[in-house]
Amino acid sequence: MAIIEINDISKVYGYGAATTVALDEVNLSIEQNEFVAIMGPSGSGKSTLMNVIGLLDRPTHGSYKINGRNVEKLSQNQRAKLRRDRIGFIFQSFSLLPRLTVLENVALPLAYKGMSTTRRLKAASQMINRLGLADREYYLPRYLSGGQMQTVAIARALINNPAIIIADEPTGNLDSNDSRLIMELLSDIHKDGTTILMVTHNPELTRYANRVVYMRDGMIIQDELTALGLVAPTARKSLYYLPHKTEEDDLAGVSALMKVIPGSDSVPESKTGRRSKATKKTKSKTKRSKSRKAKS
Amino acid sequence: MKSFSRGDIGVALRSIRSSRSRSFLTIFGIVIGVAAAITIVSVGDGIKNQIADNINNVGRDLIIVRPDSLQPTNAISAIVGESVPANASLSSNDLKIIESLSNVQYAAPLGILPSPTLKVGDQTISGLQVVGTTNNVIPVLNQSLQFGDSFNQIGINNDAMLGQGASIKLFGADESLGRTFTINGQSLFIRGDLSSFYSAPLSIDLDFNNVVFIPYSEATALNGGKLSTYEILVKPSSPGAISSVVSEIESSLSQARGGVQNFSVLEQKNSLTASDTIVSLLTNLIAVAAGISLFVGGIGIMNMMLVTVSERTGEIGIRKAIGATNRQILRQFLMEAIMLSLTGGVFGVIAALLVDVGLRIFTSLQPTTPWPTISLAFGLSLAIGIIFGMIPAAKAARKDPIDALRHS
Repeated sequence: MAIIEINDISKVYGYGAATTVALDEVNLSIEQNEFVAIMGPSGSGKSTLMNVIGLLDRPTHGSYKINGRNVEKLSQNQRAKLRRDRIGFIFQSFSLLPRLTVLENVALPLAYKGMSTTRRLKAASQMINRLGLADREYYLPRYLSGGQMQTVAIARALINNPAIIIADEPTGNLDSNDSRLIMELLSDIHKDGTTILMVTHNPELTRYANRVVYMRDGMIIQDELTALGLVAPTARKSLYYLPHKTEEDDLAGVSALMKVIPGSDSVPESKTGRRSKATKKTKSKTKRSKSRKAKS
Repeated sequence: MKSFSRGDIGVALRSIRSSRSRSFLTIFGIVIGVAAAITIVSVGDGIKNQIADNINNVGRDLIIVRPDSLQPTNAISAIVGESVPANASLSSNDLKIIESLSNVQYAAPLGILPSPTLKVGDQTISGLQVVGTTNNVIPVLNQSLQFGDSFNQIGINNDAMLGQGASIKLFGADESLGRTFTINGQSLFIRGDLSSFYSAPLSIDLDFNNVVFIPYSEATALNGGKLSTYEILVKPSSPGAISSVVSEIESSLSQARGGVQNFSVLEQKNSLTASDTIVSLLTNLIAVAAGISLFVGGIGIMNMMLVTVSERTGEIGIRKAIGATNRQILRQFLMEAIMLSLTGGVFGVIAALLVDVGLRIFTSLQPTTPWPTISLAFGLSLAIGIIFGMIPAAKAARKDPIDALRHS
């Protein structure tokens, strides 16, 4: 049984002429212990997909199951509790609370579970120790380096033993050394059996994933398995394109990656056709068959 | 849940400390409101106690006869020296009738000389009342002479007795036997200095410490042959005879006036009630003003919390992302508002106690601050925190996590 199962998920914002389709009948199934990298240009729907998977947002249409349980219609409080118990978040901007120490930041999810102060600080201390920051327990976040802050954020994400970690560009604000350290840490977490979903723009980071999903305009256009330690095959091609990104590409908002994804040219440009599809809940055989083909 | 509340308190205190000047100004509003409310109630209670003590001093068996138009509130006008209306007067015949009653031990009239000019040499002295009365005023008021003797009532009329404050004002000392001074040009001789009277603020009776007592006949002569008696003080022969004396006075005076009941006969307990009514009215009025300032302090808390919620939108998003429910977010921010108001309550109580001490040292007031008043003040400040913190806390709880995370 897949740990995450999304069927025909759509997310539509606005009304009438101001409608925006952020997700267009996305289907995605993630197994236990997968490390999935999600790539795509800005506005492709990656963050919206992460918000829906992370129960921060409700889809407009479609079904979403976690461990076989339907969660798309849960109330806000129910989602909060499920998020607290099953999902850990890692943000690009670290998102530590500036007035709390490292220890208190890490212990915060346990506080929302109702654990006593002593027990949760003890658990937080053990987690911080495990990640190698024992000497920074009582520091405030502003006294830490970027890599240290992200490590603390990872510790906070792990404290409740979540089944799923959602990382939104975890190395986006880090230098290459810290990026490597953080990715190695995520890799270790993955090896311990945790399912990881990571949004990234950096093709190099696909080395740590065993599956890469490519998105554009609210749809999944490519879904490929990849070997650990190697850059994903499609992403590898863009590595040669990155130095040659033109001004035209910049203006069009197209990443070099999008030039190399097979079949991306056949994706309709206009949003109108897709909007009507999402709102009328019609299914696209073309896209479905493409997704299945990519997975095989 | 219990342990989470302790964490909330820590987070709340840290948040208050992080914006010190803003927190200080917000708390200050509560401090003023709480201190004002406690001080008003304490001063009011203290005045009531002082009046009760005053009454105990002069004797609980004192009976006061007043003209009907001179109600307790009008008495204040009379006391401050305004002219008493002619129809607001008892007569010498009334005094005779009262003195003739069997159970009456002493009776003393009190007639205020309107707008007297007091001089010692060429120096005019102001701030004193001149009261025409008889020697019976001393036993009626349960008082004694510190120096000298009471004035003659027969024969020579230019004697005077001074209250302690009057002696000090006229001659700079509490002993002034044998000295002379003038009232409206008439020379008078100090025959006796009275001991200090117990005076209560806002009492509807004269402050006898600042009174010059002269014979009733002398006062009448100084006022052109007519003096309004605003009060006759009566001492019954025994405390048990109060009720019967009151009845006798009422029926005798009524009979003398042809059945017209245009006077009041008050026992001390009525006087106490009248004083309590006045003091309570004043206390309640000023307490309303203090309550308004507390309300404004609460508005300040709400304002600060709304700004805090707005500034910490990103933090709210992060907390919700890691699993905080709406209820937990609401509790966190409500706790901050409560800590602000309770801190204001604590410092307000301390400020009120300091003001009470200052009033006791620098004025004649004797405020009392019992524990129920302090508990009520804490309860009020807690209620203010809850009421005015609820809206900002609810606003924080309702924030959409995705929108909030964009601010982080």
